[in-house]
Amino acid sequence: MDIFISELKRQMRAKRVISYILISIILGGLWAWFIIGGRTEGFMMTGCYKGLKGMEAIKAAAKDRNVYSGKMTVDNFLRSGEAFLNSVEGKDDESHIIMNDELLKLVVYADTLIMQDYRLKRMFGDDNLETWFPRDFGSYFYENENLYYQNLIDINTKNQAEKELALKMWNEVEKPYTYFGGFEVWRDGVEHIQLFGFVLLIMVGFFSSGIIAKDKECGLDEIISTTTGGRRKLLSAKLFIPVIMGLLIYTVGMGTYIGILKHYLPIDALETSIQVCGGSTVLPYNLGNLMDKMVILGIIGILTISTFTTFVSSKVNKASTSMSIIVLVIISGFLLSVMGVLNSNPTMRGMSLIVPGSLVFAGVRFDIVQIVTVFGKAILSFKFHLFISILIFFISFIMTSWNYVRGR
Amino acid sequence: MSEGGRKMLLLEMKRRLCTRYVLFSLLGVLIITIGLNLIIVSHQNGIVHSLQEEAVYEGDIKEENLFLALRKVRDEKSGDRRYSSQVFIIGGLVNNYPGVLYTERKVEDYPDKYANEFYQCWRNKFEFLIKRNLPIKEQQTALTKLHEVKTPFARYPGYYLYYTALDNIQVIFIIILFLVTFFASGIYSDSFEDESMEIIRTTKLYKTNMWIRILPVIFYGVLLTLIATLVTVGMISSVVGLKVLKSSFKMIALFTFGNLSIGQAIAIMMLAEIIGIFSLSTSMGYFSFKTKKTTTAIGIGVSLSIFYMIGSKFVSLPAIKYLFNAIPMVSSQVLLSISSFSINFGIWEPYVIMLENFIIFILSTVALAINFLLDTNQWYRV
Repeated sequence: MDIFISELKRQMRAKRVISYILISIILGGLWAWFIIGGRTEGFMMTGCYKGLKGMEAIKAAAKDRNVYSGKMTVDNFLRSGEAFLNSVEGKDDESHIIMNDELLKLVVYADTLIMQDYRLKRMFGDDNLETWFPRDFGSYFYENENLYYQNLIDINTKNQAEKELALKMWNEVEKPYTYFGGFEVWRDGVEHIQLFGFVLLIMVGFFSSGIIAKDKECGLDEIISTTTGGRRKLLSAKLFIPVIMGLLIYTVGMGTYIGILKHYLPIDALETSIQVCGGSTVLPYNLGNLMDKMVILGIIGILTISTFTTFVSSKVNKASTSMSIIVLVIISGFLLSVMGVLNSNPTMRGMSLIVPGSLVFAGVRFDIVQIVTVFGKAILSFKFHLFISILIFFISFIMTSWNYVRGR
Repeated sequence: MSEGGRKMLLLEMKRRLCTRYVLFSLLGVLIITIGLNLIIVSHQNGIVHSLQEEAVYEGDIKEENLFLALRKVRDEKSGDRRYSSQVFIIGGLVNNYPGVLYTERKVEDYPDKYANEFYQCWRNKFEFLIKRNLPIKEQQTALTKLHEVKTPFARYPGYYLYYTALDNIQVIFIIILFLVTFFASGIYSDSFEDESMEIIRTTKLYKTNMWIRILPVIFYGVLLTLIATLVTVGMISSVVGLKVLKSSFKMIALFTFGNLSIGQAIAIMMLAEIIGIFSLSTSMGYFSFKTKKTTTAIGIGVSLSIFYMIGSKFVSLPAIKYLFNAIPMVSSQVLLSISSFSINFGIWEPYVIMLENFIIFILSTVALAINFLLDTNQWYRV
């Protein structure tokens, strides 16, 4: 245990740790400020809330929208559809929307209806996108929603097992949906967890890349191997310090970010169903669940990259080499998840699953219907990704121990 | 260069380039390039037939041919590839920047003028877009640039493979810039770390040696760029032929300035990337010389690139854009600005990016020169 503490002290010198922590706190703060401060509200270019920015816009919009918040009932949908159609002036091409108080309060409903109308028309090849939906469209909202998602599931699943799982998920989605004012900012905030995670990932990679390689560089490794305990005694320190530091950087950085968001933004908006948030997905979560899941996936991603970095560090002779390799791995994970997840090519999809640390970008796997079949069993794509990451975590652990104790 | 200098260059090239790192990264880039392009190429089983069909109207896009094609597809419901491929071009008027000016949703609604006055319609929409999207002081330059565009455009069958191919080149360019960052980070700091710098400093050719060290990095970057581009072009050409490179770049992005062909656009991407490599290797050299630690130099270089990659996606303030355009990483993203019609300082954006990167190259070279000078003087004083 002694040696663990002294190694911990050596690696986590005050200046070094403080600078890492400070950078992650500053980044978290800036990021949250960017999300909140840059926010503007509006609806279909009507210019409502024009001139308001940041918290003012969020508060003003949330106040209006909270009048009908909570469960999104069919009655309200019907009312919003009528309010919306009443406010449309002019015909077809030149139509524009005149904002009124009633519509301002029902904006979320109207928005969801317009989106549904658009999606259904796209899905069933109805090219008549110029005209709006019929007056009573809102009263069939949940029937239409069912129709849309069932078709979406049919298109995006490859076999019966996948289809059943997707349908099961869709049936678990709580209907009527829920929303609370201010969820739009939260949605952006949750999406940015991935990007911020990307930056933290790089930082953790930087920290851990020298953990063993630096010893080799300055010849300390040779000396350690001649001591009675040898490298074996130091193994646990070498394995766990990157993990501890990774956790620390991520918790502090992400904690600051989410803390600030939670402090300023309405908390009840986290109960909003993710189906209302713009993307189409069959997963039965609300924004809060989604956020928790993203953070947990982020933590596992960070853990994977810290052990993987240790492994690389034990393999190469120079800290700069391991740093380069880790940056390349993280960047390729990022690029793959940006372009690979929706790519139809199986190799690309496979690659995007196995790159260490790519779990941080798993947010894209919550979109649409993302299910993979492994050995004939259907499993949600992000759970499979999680499983692989944990596997990589343990494999790197074992490989590092093997490498380090053997002294290569 | 003196005899000694030339020999030193050769030795330095050998020292830096004949390493496992270079070998692996060359192989890596080659594999990624081939892999990405295989995805495009392998899906093209039935393409030979449709290429033959489209070849009937290859070359300049004539309005009468477009009109014929529109009538065939719209009125006679012809499914012939030779016609539908041309209607696809007309559709570009509607589908690029959708919802502006031309809003027809299906071919049946396209009026005749889209075809028989194609170029006029194109001009109209472009002018409208310029007036809507650009700040007033840039509009005049943009309109002049628009008038310089020569019609008709040219098209050769199979150009659409370059949609994905150009994106692939862009992704590989990003990776190449990171590789160059890593390679350049050790230019001087490696010698500081193993203290060989102390010995080199005492030699007569110290300053020559310092300058020569940048050359392998540039050579390495240019080599990777050439591999990525040539392999991509070669693989695509093996399916659709080299002629496609003569197609107008307008076929990839309809509303763009200039009279570039696809081949020229690729050349511009390459040129920008190479200028980026120049500025990256000198600026990384500067960091490497200043920090004297390879890991710190990598840290700075990577942070800058990441800052660009994330920041440029969200911040669109003009002042910050000038800053972003000076970060070497931007040169891998030139495709984005070739495909749009932004203007900075009254200059077309891709040229701004090259210019700013060139300035960074000059600045960091000067900074390096000053540092070398100071360093030698210090040495003699001691």
